[in-house]
Amino acid sequence: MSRGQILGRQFIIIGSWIVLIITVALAFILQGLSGGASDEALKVAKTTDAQYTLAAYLHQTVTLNGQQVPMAEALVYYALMQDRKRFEESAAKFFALHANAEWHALTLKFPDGTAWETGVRQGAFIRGASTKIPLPDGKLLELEYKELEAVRTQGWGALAR
Amino acid sequence: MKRGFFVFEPLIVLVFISMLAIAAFVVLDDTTDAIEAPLGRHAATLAQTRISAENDVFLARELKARYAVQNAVYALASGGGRVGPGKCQFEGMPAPEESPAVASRDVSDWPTNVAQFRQVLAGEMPVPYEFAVDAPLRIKGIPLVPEPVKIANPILPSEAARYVSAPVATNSVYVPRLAFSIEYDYKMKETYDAIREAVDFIDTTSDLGNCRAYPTGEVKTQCVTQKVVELNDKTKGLVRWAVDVKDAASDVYIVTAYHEFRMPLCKNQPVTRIRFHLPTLQ
Repeated sequence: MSRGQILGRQFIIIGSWIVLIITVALAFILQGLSGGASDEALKVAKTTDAQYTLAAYLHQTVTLNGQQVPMAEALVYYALMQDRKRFEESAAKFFALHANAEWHALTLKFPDGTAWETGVRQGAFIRGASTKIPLPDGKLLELEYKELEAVRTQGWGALAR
Repeated sequence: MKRGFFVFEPLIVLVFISMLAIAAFVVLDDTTDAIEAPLGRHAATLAQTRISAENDVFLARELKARYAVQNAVYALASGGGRVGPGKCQFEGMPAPEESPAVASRDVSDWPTNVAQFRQVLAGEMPVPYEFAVDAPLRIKGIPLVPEPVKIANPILPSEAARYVSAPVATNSVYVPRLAFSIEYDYKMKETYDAIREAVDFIDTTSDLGNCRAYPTGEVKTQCVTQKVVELNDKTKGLVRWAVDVKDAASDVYIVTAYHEFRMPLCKNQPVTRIRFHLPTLQ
């Protein structure tokens, strides 16, 4: 076998490997790009899921002054009584029902601009959900729920409902 | 042979991977189609609308209804058998004015109370609801008229035409409010029955042992006080009684019935203040 033939074969072998690696890399890149088309649907799903979690928190039944009431009413009571501790306890209890309790955050914003934050404070949050809760005098509380991206990367089954 | 294998192996792998990639893209393309299909988006939008309506529209409305119920309970309590001016004192809000005492004869029976309660409630509710008031206090809110939440149909008519098998004719969808139920462990019927019986216990003219038999003055006051003490035993767990204002000279006694059951958000206690006029029997 001549030197030219040997070089030719080596060229073919090395070239084939390069093409293979480029193809695999391209496959990954294209797959990533193709995700953009379904992003909107996924965003809707994520937002809906955060809203669902928020609804689940607000509709829990809790005991307040001897009466069984939804969490939303208890939350109003905690706000009126400035009982931050019970708000934080209720959030911690709710988060504990989930697979990754430390990855969630609830913020209660008052009409005067102050806020109570509980749960995780830093990290890459996915889009959360919020709602406005009326007080007896017509003013509004705002409750915001957020969760870390990590909750979702663990899969949809990560949240134990 | 060996050399040939090493030469062509990468090409074989490349062809194999290419086939896998093509298959994967086909599958991915189908999935994207399914997610992006009008019906898929329609379902997702419906789900989102329903849940966001639950959080943003219905929850707020139900809370307002709950505040109305609590206020109505106080209004009824303060008026005995009729609607009074009583009000729940929510935390951080000014104390309501003390309710005037009603004449003992105004304290009517349970059916009248319930009717009055419904009237008050109907006036305070943010939207018209039907009520079923049981004992303990339970209110079933059923919208009298459909309460739609209107959202835009995510499927354009031009787009819908492409999907003959999934016709969507309307331009909007509606998420009607479901009925809701408010329950409080407030023994309303028992409480008002206890108050009515207590009024009979003090106010009856046929009872020789009642306070009317005594002359105006301290002895009669002692009698009324004693009867109120007895009432506390009779209505234990429902109502606590106290003689608040005494005008023994004119045989008028104001007795306050403190309801033992409270509304969760109210700082004050529901009270029924009753004025007894107990002139001495001739």
